[in-house]
Amino acid sequence: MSSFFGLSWRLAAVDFKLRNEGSYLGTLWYFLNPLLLFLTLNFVFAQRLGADIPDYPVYLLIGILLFNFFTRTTLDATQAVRESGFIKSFTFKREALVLSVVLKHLMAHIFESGLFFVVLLLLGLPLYSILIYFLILFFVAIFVFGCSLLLAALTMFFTDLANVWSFFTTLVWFATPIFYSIEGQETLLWVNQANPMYYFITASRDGILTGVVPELQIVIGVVLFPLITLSLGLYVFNALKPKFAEMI
Amino acid sequence: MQRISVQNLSKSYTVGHKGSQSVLDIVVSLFTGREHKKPLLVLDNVSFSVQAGEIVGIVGKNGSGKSTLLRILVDILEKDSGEVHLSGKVVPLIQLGDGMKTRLTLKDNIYLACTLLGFSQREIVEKFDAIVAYAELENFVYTKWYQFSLGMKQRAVFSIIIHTEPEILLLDEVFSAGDESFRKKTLTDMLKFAHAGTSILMVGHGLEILEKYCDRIIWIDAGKVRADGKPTEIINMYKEHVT
Repeated sequence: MSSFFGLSWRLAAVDFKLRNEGSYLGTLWYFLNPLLLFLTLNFVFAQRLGADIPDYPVYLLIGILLFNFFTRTTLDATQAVRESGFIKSFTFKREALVLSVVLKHLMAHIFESGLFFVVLLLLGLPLYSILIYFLILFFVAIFVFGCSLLLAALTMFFTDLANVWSFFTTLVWFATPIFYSIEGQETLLWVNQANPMYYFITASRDGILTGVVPELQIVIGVVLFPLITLSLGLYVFNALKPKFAEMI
Repeated sequence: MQRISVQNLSKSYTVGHKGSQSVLDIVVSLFTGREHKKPLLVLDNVSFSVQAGEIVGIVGKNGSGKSTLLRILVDILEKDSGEVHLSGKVVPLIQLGDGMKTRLTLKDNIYLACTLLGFSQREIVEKFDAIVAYAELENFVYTKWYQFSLGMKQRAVFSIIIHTEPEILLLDEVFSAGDESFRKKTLTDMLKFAHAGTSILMVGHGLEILEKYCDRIIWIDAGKVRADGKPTEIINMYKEHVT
């Protein structure tokens, strides 16, 4: 097991290094990307959609950071096995290729979280909130790993899935209350009952902005979605992995 | 002691195929990019065994199933039927250079390859200097992989493999590049491994090397074992067949 995590970590570190290789701003991009999106959305929506939402910048930032982590990791995961050069030369636990993608984006997320820290400081909110954020992030990471296993395995057999997933995550981005409030929108609220990201983002906002324990339904969603997705992901990945080397 | 046992091993792929397509198939494939496929038997009831300390060469034309056989032995590919038993630590050297990251340095690539081969961080740190020294690349530790010549890459890769202390070594076209002195050095070390009990299965087109260093040669033709025996005898048969 330790060699599995060691390998995943090594692969993540290599990809992280390669991504920043030759870049002038390097890891600063991890900070700049969400910052620019955050500033743009805050500028456009703060006076209208965010007018009735207390501490709108933090409300918005939580949504952006968690959703970005989900989208970037899962999109990257669609190519995790397909573009690996190791499948036909080495015998190793194939799941490490997927876990490495999650770890790489978690590393990048540490830089993004710096932005969260700065906004909390500027708004005078308690800094221990960042601990609540990381607690929720732990569940998000398990959920994302489960999704990534599913996507990495299925994309080997259905290439179109990468494009479908890209479109699907854009739809979910708009359906999830990231830059607006869902209150009073019955249809959207109903749709979001099946949206795991809604549970993670709501739980983070409840804990950080209002300091209350989220409703039981939200807590159940935060725990249950990762467990179900991880079990399904492991099952499908295990069933399909013997054929991976033949598909490359 | 038997290290490798293969009984009635068969494997087929589905490959692209142009024949017997309906007009509808052709029209659909124009839009979807999907090709018509048919099964291709690449290994057909292959059986052989390798004893501890034995060096066995595998010859055959391109596409005869040699590399597929090695990949099935190490579980990279799934077999269709048959039995495969290996006893001992298996180390494959199958297109290892392809997995290396061209934009990373030699050091990073050694760390990566060693991790993929199951080394712990401590083992890599302990063996790193020896790997670089054996490959004679001490002055290129921080040089990027794409800046190496083919021979230098091969030296690095073989050096990593030598330091894994294998009990079963699977080599695919290893001696096609690299200078003569390094080739001699690696072949001498290979013999030392064999004397110590390591079984070596070596696929290649370098017939002279196979004849000189192998105890036995297996000739695979169109997925079947055509002959299995003494190197000179089998290589002469193979040469007659290909010329």
